[in-house]
Amino acid sequence: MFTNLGYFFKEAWNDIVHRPVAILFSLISIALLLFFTAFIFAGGEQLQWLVGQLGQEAAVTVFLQEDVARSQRDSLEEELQQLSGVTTIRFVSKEQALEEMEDILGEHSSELAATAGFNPFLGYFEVGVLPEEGVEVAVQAEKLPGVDSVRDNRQTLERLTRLTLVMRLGAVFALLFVGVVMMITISHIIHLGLMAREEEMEIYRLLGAGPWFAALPFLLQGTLLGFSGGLVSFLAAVVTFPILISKLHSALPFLPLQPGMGVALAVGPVLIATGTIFGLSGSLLAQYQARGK
Amino acid sequence: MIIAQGVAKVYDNGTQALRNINLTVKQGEVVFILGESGAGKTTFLKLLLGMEKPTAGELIVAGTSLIKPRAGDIRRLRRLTGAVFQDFKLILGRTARENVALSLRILGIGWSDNRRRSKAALAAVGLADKGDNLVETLSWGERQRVALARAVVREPRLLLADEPTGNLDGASVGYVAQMLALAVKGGATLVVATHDSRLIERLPGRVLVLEQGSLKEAPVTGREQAACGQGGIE
Ligand SMILES: Nc1ncnc2c1ncn2[C@@H]1O[C@H](COP(=O)(O)OP(=O)(O)O)[C@@H](O)[C@H]1O
Ligand SMILES: [Mg+2]
Repeated sequence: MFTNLGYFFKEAWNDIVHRPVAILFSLISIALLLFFTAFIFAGGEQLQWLVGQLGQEAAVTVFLQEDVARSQRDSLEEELQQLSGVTTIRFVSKEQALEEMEDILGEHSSELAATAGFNPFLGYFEVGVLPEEGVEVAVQAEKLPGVDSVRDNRQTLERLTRLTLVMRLGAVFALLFVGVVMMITISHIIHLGLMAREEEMEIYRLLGAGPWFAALPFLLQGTLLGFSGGLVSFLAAVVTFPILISKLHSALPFLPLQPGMGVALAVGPVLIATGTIFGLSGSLLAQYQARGK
Repeated sequence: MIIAQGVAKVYDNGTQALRNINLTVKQGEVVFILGESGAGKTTFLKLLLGMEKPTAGELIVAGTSLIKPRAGDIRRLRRLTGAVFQDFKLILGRTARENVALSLRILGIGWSDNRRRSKAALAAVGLADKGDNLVETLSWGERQRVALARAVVREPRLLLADEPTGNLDGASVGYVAQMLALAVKGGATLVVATHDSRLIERLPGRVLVLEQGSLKEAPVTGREQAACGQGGIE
């Protein structure tokens, strides 16, 4: 069988050359399908990355009331220090808060502050915590005098993590759906190829060929088709994702985003693997149908 | 090589193509089966290749019983057989050489051996310069010789030929006879369905006659009769 491997590839190629339009169309539709799932995957990728970024800095933000005196602030800092699980404390004044926000938001925000004419921010303590004690620290901090409100990024994190899971699940379902559609597309095109060559295959059998002799070129072809579809959609992602994400970044500058190339590279293997696997199963399905007759 | 006992074939539409065939063919033997058109020659060859199943009797070819054969057994039988079909069964859209090479490729013969042997086989049937021509551009006589090359190139143990000279002129019949003789020399058992005296004259062998599905060992005069019959038509 392996002495014939080159021949099987040649046969697969011959058939492609024989009906280039049909093959090209199915390739395009497979690539498009995969490209669309790539978006859902990219969303999940982004969220995952965001969670990772935020998770590195498990922190509780303790906002101070508008008019807290210096002495009260110092005693508050000491009390926060006493809470178990607290690792670091950094004070950020109203003025610093404004500056930081301007750093993050860029030029647009200074305009915003200028038009507002006053500083809308509160001073706050950024309290580094051990991740597993973050919630408890937040609860305790809220009870201290002079505290306006407490924001625990763990809650945000948990919500984001849940959203990431939903996104992932959605992506897997989308992938399965696309996979099945792909499988049907490929099995259809392979089936047409098999039908067109029914007579030829009968001759193979009369000469003593086993079922794989005639089937293998078509298995190769279907697998190749799926693989190429994955590859094309991957290339499309490599080209488009960096552009899209840099557009998104300039629209939402405060949102930490993974660079587009990184997302494309992360999604690529999934696209190619899905293409290949469902390409192979599609052509197996076609064989199975053909043999049923 | 071939043992047939009480073999009969009734087609699904009720046509009784063969009845009570008893025949033993030894390894290396040459057998001609004569008979008018519709006598059942093609049907008998089809049985030998497992293309049709006998409806009665016992049929053993190359040690394989063809009454209830398994797919693997049929494959094995077909691999050691070279067959020239009455309708050639060449693959259109391929060149003559590709058709011949396919025969060896199915046997798993490597690329360079395959190329060499295919070329030689085509040369032996007088088609050395037609190897790269598509089958559909060849004349019927040329196609018939390609079909023969495809059968002989695998150096078969059993060679079945269904009217292999049906479309050929005198010179081409010479090629065919030579090829068949060569295969027999190489150890093949040969069964030829024909009514071509030109072939029978050139190849010593046993002559049988099929008549409305019944097989008879031709009487001593069978050969001359067949030859005369053919001569009469010419
Ligand atoms: N597939 C078939 N179905 C029904 N009848 C058939 C079939 N093939 C051949 N026959 C019939 O069987 C008889 C023998 O045919 P065949 O073996 O082709 O004869 P020959 O090759 O000697 O001319 C003929 O009457 C023919 O019509
Ligand atoms: Mg016939």
